[in-house]
Amino acid sequence: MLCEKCKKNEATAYIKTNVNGDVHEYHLCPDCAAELRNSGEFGKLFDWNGLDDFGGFGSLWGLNSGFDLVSSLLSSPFGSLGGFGSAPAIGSGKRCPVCGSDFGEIAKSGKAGCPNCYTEFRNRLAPTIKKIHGNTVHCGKHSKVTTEQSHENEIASLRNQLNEAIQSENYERAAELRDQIKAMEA
Amino acid sequence: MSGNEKNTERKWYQTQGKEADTVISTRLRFARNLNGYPFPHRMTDAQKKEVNEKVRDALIGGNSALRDSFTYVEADQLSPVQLAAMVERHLISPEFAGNPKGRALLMMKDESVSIMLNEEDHLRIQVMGSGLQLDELYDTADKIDTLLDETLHFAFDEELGYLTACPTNLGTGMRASVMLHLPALTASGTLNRIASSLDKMGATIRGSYGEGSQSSSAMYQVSNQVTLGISEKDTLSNLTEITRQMIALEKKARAGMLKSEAYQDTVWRALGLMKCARVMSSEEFGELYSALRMGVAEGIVTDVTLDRLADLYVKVQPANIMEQYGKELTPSQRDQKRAEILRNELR
Ligand SMILES: [Zn+2]
Ligand SMILES: [Zn+2]
Repeated sequence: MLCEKCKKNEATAYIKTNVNGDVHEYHLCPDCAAELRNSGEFGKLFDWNGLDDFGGFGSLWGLNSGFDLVSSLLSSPFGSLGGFGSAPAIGSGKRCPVCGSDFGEIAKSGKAGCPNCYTEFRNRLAPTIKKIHGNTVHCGKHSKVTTEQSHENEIASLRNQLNEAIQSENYERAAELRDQIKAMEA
Repeated sequence: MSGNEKNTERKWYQTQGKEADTVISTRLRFARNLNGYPFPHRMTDAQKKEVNEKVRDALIGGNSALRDSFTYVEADQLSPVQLAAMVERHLISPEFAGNPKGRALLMMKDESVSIMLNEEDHLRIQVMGSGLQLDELYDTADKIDTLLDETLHFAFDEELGYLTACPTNLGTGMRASVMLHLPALTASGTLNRIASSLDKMGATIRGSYGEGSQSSSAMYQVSNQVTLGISEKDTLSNLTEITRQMIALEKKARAGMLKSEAYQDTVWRALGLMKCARVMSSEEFGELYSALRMGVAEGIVTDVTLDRLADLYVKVQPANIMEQYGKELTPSQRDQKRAEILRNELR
């Protein structure tokens, strides 16, 4: 499908606008989509909430958060679904340094791009994760490496506390901490 | 993966497990991923190859304890029929079979453990067993997971647990399923009401192949829904409890059904048709199988055992028929072969 604005390039971005209930759909090429995004007018004109109509997993990621969507001009479901590195270079949103995903791509596919995306977009993914699992954190098996890491972190934090205790001449507390560290290192 | 090799090795489903009269099989799946690579839906072919080889080497390379227990096969080396037959044996997912490029499989010779590589996640570790055995399977899956983690260092987050492509699997990354045979609850029409109460207990129920396609055989899969914020241990004991309740309900419903002369007749007729028919469709087989399985489980028919029936069930699935005959067959040719296999096996 050709871009509806320039009628020259292949349309890869699908935008749905809702101005006071007046709904319009646009299929644009990356250039025109970027132009639209950069024109200061769009904030007044478009209700970006319409984007969650991408349906499926799009809404799962809580895509109805207004201006967050500036960087998520999503490529059309029929556009190139190319893999790593071939995502259209539209939007100035943050990208995951490991896989190159931006939040819009994650929202559209309903899948994170790589494990690091969960760190990179933690706050924006949190509402969706809550929606699926409830307000909770992991309990159960830990990956061994991480367990070791967190074990070391804990020891490091105890050492910090120990230094503080010594500095503030709280020797009773220092002795306690020293025992704890000894036990954890064993 | 030659046909001969396949026939010599005894498969997990050819033995009978606990609660076999109502529980067909149990399955556990762990979703695991490697740091530093995109998830499969964003990977290049070269990255997929790297992950395949890393996992293969971690499991069966060098001096691994499991070196001789697993075989490695790249999915695009398998024919469409072989792939479909593996789906029927629940070794791989339909999704995996439908898109074999860049994917690989590690499997134990008795097919009780299979690891899909580059399906939705880098690894899907799957363990299966007959009857009800959630705790036993967990021990096996846990050991394999721990062994692989030592070399692969799976992606993990203190708050989110194991990191998975789809957020629905975060946390333990564990999906536990029990396959139940519920002919009496199906007949009495109470299953819908049970399904909605399962939802409240954090479990779901669906037809045996995920699509409800085989509901004529009254097989259902009950699985846990939530993976974040609940430990593996609690998930399993919750699912065991739900399964026990379903078993009790099914048995109660069966007791009433078994008294009826008409039902006993249904069971014997099922056996009769299977022993004599010349043409049999999948649908017809599903219904007859369900009646016969219940008849065997409840001691009405004693000349067949449940493990033999389970083996038979696999043998007459469409792709498994074609695999045995070594060629593609039309549906009507398959219906003839199905009847032929049944006659030979039940003679
Ligand atoms: Zn254009
Ligand atoms: Zn990423």
